[in-house]
Amino acid sequence: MLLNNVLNLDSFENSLRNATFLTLFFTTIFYWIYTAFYTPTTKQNKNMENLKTNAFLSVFSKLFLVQTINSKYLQSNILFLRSSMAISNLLLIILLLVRWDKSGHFPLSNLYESLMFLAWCCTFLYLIYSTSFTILVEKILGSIIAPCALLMNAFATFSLPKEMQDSAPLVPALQSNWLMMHVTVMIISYATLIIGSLLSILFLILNMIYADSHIINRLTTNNVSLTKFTWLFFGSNNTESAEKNAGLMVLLLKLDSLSYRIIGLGFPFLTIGILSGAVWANEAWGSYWSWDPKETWALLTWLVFAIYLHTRLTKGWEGKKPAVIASIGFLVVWFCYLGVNLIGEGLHSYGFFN
Amino acid sequence: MDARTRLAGAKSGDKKKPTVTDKLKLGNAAPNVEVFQAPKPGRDNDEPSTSGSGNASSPGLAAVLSRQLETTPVQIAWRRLLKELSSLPRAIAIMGLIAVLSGLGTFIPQNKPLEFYLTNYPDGAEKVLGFLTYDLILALQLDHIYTAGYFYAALGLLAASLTACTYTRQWPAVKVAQRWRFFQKPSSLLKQGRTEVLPNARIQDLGALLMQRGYQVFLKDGSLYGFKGLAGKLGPIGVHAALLLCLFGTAWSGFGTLKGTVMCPEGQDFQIASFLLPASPLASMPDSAANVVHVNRFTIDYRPDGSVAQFYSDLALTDPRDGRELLRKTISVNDPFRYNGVTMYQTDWSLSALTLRVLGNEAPLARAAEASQAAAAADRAAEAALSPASAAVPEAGASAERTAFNLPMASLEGRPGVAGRLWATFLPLGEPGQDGSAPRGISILARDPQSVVFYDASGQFVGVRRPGSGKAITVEGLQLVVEDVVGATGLEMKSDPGVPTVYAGFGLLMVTTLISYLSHSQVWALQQGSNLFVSGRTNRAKLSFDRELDELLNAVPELPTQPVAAAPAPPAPQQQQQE
Repeated sequence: MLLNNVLNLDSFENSLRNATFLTLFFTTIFYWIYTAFYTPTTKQNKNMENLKTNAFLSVFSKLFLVQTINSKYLQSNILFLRSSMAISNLLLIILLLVRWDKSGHFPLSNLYESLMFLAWCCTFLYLIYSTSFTILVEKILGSIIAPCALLMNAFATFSLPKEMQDSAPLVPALQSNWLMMHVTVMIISYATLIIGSLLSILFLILNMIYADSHIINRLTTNNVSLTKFTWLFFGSNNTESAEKNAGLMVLLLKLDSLSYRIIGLGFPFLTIGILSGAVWANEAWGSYWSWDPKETWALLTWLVFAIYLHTRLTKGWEGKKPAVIASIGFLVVWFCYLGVNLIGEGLHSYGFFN
Repeated sequence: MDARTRLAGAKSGDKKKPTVTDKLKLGNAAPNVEVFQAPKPGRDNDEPSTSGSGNASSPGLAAVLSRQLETTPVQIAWRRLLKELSSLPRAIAIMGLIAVLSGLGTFIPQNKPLEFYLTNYPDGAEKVLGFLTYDLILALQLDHIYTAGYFYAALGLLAASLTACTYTRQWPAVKVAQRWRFFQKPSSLLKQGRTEVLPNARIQDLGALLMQRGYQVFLKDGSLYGFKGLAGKLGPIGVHAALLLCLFGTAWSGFGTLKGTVMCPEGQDFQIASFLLPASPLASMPDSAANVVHVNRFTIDYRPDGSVAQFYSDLALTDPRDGRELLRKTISVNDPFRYNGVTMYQTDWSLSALTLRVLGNEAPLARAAEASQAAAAADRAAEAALSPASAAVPEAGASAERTAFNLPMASLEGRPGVAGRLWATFLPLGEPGQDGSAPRGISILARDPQSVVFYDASGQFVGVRRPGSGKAITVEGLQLVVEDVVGATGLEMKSDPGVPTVYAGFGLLMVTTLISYLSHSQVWALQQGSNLFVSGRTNRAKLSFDRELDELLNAVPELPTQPVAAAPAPPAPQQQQQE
């Protein structure tokens, strides 16, 4: 399948490294420019919404439907952005496959590989959730995910010392099929929780701009008709500012909902990751929970997001309070992933920081 | 018994689930149905209605209360306890407490000896963080947070809270969600959620569209109820049940586990039971612990770059009563030895002895060799066979130019100046001095079974040899050949009765958290004349349900207006799409 000549593979991997960084860099720039300066009108938003009626369309055919889009403007604009993200995604896949071929084991054994996989998960998440709401929400999502993936990629490629980037053969404790399941699911869950928390932080920042948070609080958890809600603002008070405010509130609602759904998906993955790690530990050294710092912080992350999911059920706490908890969760996830390595000892210290 | 159950004709204590016949019967009853099945105004029946004060506003709690007819102090206290335990803010606080305590345990090293805390958290000028001293740590049990009483108490409180919440809120809410509720008045629809009215629409069309989108639809007398994703309502109950199972399993493990470690050299054996230590007096030794394990061989596979590929231990389990071999397996890391409840894991290793052969006819050893030869000749006269010699005795039958030694090795790990793991042995070349000082001799060191390093009597490095290569090295006038390095395998043994329960809890938790992601959506409709009232709600994906409802309502075909009707229907305000 791939080249067996080691020299060719090395240079191919090097060019892939640079290629992934460049594509992610330009994707970020494109998303930022298009979000800041090109805002679609309501009509264009509606056009895109009508495309989502058929639940059986696959994600990619939905993403790249060309025929039914009326506006040429939309056609070039958003498809270009999506293609850019899809290309970054593809390049990251190829990079990981090349590393798999080179080292002979699943490419998730050290910090470099897990960061690359994390970046891939983020871009993949974008492709899954891009069509959930309107174009504006999609662009905002892309503007958050692209720099996230870029930073992960850049840190892995440029900041990590060379010896930590090389693929080394696995130590005996990692030679297990559980490696694929446990680490994969954990990284996927980190990606979802990070993106969901970032959306919550964005929600809080935008919420500070718009002061009428009590309306948001009521609307975020009740079954609301968005069309009726926007009519309230359009119909009663047809000024520019009312339209803008309505737009911002609707955007906030959508961000909140998207954040909830993404975190709601990340939480089961986190559960599966922690539990598969526990089962692996029991198979390897007879103890499914040994209060290792990484294990403990994963449990902490789980508890913080369980609290987040439960605060959404409490009446009177909607809107802002869950978002604050999700923001705390952002810090907790990063500490769980990278910070525990600074603490030093534990079963997870496989060649991280010394 | 309160008014609701009396109206439905149920007897006191009658808690059987309503059958289809019952539901239809109740549906066919007159206005009583409304009172029985509609939620009280302003109250959210499907969500677990919680509030900061935790007052008894949920229907589940009311149902629980209604069942308790007596009002003895015990019953009052029990009801109060349930109410306090099932309060959601309190549960959140307990989860937060466990989180904070767990995090604390990662910053303060746990289970270290006393001297560690004395040196690292001293009292005096250099207090850590200005207040954290060793006696504060020890007094608050911060050196063993995860086994401290208050940590167990927090876990127990969490378990109680989970149980109380499931009993008082979730389970009754599921029962409510399972009842088919048909509404006869538009005003009741308004209470459910977002309500719309479609003029000139038929309820059957809506029903068909709902079914296309995966809803289960029930139609009766111009009233419709459809739902999908009921699993999303049951999921959280499953999550709580799974968590309780996990907690129970870990508690069982905590009391019933027996574990121990053993470092057994190759060729030796040990009885399992003598190394298993119980975690508590409640732990019972399994029968298979009476068996004996013989270590046939211990090998380390190395890669060309010198790193370890894998550790292998060839183990044989025998029954001590009749010597019958029960199981033989070569274990490695991630592949343990399992037999009847006892599991042995490859976790450690060490070097136990060195087999050294001396070539040549040197004075101190030759004397020993001659002496042993003489003894051997005398013994041969007495007995027919002579068993091979064991440790520290020259091999019987060896000629004067060959003598082999089996020298035990000791670990020097942790000694000053020693980095990493190191084993050493000593071959003396003379008698100890008159003042009791050590004799002069050859020092032999090894870090792993791959190579052995020789130092002469003055401590100078002489050379390195690979065991089994046959190549001799000359040290202090002696020619030495390293024949073999005898390793020892470090095994961790465990007998844990709680593992099946814990695994079951894990599996259930993995599945139920995934199921809880589903959104439980409900739609009600009521046909009044040519007007169709539609109401819908969901518990999770609220905005996408909102959009779905928009699409659904847009898809319902508008019927042509009847020209002879009493009042001509106004023209439809919205654009329609024919499916």
